[in-house]
Amino acid sequence: MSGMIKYVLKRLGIILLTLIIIISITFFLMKLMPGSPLANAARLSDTQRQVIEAQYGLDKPLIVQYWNYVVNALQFNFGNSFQFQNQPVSTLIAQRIGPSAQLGIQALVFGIVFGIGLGAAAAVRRNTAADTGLSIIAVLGVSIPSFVFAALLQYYVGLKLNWLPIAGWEGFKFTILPTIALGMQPMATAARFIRTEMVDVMGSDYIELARAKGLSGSDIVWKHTLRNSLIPLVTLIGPMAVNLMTGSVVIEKIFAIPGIGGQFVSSILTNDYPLIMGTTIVYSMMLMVVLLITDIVYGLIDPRIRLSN
Amino acid sequence: MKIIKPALIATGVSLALPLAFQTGVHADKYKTINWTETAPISTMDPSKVTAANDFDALTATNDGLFRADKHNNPQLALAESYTKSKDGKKYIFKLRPNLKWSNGTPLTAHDFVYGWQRTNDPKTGSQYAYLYSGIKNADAIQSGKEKDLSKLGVKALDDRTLEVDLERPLPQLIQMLPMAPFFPQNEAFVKKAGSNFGTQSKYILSSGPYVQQDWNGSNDTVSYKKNQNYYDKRAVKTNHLVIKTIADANTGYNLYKSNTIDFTNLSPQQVTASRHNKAYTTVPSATTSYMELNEKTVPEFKNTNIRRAISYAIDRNVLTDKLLTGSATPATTFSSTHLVKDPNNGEDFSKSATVKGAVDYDLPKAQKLFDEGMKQEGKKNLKVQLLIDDSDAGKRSAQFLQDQLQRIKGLDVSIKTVPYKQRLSLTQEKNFQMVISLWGADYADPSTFLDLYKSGAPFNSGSWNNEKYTKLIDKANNQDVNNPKKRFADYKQAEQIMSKEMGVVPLYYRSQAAFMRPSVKGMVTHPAGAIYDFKWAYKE
Repeated sequence: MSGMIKYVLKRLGIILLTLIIIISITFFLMKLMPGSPLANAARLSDTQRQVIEAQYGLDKPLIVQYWNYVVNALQFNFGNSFQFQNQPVSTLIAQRIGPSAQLGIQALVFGIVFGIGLGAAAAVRRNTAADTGLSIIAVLGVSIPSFVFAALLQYYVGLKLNWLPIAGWEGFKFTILPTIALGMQPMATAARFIRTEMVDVMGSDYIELARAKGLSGSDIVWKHTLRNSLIPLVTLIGPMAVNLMTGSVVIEKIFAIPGIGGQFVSSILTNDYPLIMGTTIVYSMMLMVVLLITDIVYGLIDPRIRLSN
Repeated sequence: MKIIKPALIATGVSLALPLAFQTGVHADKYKTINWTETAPISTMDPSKVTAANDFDALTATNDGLFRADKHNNPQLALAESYTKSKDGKKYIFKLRPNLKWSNGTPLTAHDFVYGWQRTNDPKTGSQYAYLYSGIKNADAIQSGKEKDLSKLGVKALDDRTLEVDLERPLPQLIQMLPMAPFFPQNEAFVKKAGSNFGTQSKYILSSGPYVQQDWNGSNDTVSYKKNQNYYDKRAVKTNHLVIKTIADANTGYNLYKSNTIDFTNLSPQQVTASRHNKAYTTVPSATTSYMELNEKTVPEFKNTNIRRAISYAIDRNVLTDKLLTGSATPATTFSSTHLVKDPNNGEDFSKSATVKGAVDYDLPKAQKLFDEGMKQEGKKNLKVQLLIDDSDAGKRSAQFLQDQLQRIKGLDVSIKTVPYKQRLSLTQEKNFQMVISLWGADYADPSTFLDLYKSGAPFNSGSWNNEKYTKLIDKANNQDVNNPKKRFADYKQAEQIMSKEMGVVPLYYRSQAAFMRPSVKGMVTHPAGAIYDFKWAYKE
């Protein structure tokens, strides 16, 4: 187990380093963005502008700004937003991260659970019409962007059928359509993956052996095939989380979800430097933590990896 | 519905009890209005406001000395009367008696003095403080030359009397008073809230029709209740108003259709299908889209014939009807429509100042003028780049303009697309050849447009230089400043010179197509300042 602790510590060190690199790149890219964060900059007197710049520390040399920023950001002090005046960026993010996280987790769970179900069903009935149908669903799910699903669900399920709320975030009912829209892609990915893995495993020697020993069909599928096919699925969760985070920016806008995605987009459009940085760092951290967790879990469940480590 | 003028219901103090009962009845009679804006509130600090929807929220919760009525004419609000000196440089405002903030503390002339001083204080960083230019020492205080805030030309003679001193007459002063940067601010409250002031509902006070309930600084659904301490609460029929942030036009459309919301903006694509709906409406805005031709980077643009040729090559009707459906009408002047009426003939100023045939579509004429101009310049071909931002309207306009302008033989137009903020900074740095700009009025007066294009003025990005034009603007601001008719005649003449010489190339006047539920009545919209005023609105 001490090997695992060492491994985690090493990974945390890499995360910190990566964060510093991300902060640096974002900082300088942001400084290259033309235009002022002030909405009415041209109408300010020089004194007014100097006062505002001093308030945000923009009067200092770039390298000093950069150093201050890295030091503060690593302590989660991102400064105050330009657009939301006098509001600390950390508060703005904290107030809105809940819905984003909930949506992401729900979509991931939805995608994986239904993906496994569909994939397993297709594998068991492989080379039948049902399998082809499921494959088509999977291909559509992967290739159609989530905002198209979102618009279709909103119009048909929300407006025409009136089964679920069209938009907003006032209880679980409101989360269903955005979860499905965002979860389609992970679902399709998982389904395709599980099907391939299971078909592979089903042809392997130990399944032949189990069959020869006279185990029932369902035991073979559930205990031996599916369980062994699930292990590699863990590796997919990382990339899925990336997709979910980028996808949620659009989904949040379409379903009017008070998350950090929409806020992130508007911060970029208004050159709200502190909010851009804060959100970028939070997104990157979430992503790296998810990747770390999947790696740890993978190590825990797959003996081959544990041994080689 | 005719709007009840505040002056008519000024005193109802002795009837306080039965009236309070009556308003209770009213509150039950009308339903909650579910409004939408496309962006969340970013600040409720009247000194720091910049975003359009923040102006709306501040106007819902506050009153100034004046409040704009449904024709966008300022009417006495917290002030019950005023006098103006003969030279137009001194105003005395008398406040209504017994005015109160929403927390019950008295609202006095000192609150105006404090609020105005705070907006001018360079430490506040108000981006609308420039509106005060012309009020005594405002410029000096904002530039830091005058450190003593009490030198600002606003004084409380007593709790109900406010004196405003000007450096020069400001004909637009009354027009500006309904705007948030001129609202009163309670010194004790603002100081106690410190840097939290205006960042959450609990850190603001109301002087107007509604009290904001539950804004936490970043939430997307904010509700408002009637302000029981508002002097004119009898005129406020709605007890509950909810404003949601809906950034996506399709979502707004679906929510409207499902009866969840009472108002939504429509995109040009949605307008075509919605035009004949009973709920369809267009909200005019005193905003003009125009092309600036940079004489510094393209010397040929100094030639009037070439500038006019460009204007004549554009069929504005196609642009507004086919591409920007519902959100634009063809422009014939730089000053927008719905800005102000010309006192000389009662017409909309933009109509009054339109020179027939000067801003028109005439391709053969365009070619002729272009050939003439190029001959004068001794050139054969002209290659120019059109700068636009990546907004939907920007891209639609640019492709159309490129196509139209290239019908002139010898003119080649390329497009450069940049983000909005970059378009602004490139324009201000005069680092462009042609640019599509958008200017929205600050207040209902031609100066908000025409003063921009004086020779050498900071927003004259095309560097168009016309001595006669500049002289007329100066005349309007000096010798004719106290004579509205003469002053408007000056502005009209200036506008006409600009149209004939094509100082800028007007494209379209902007408006906003929307669905508003027909059961919502009394809603007031303004082309400048706060767009939506909920004071008199109610839902049956």
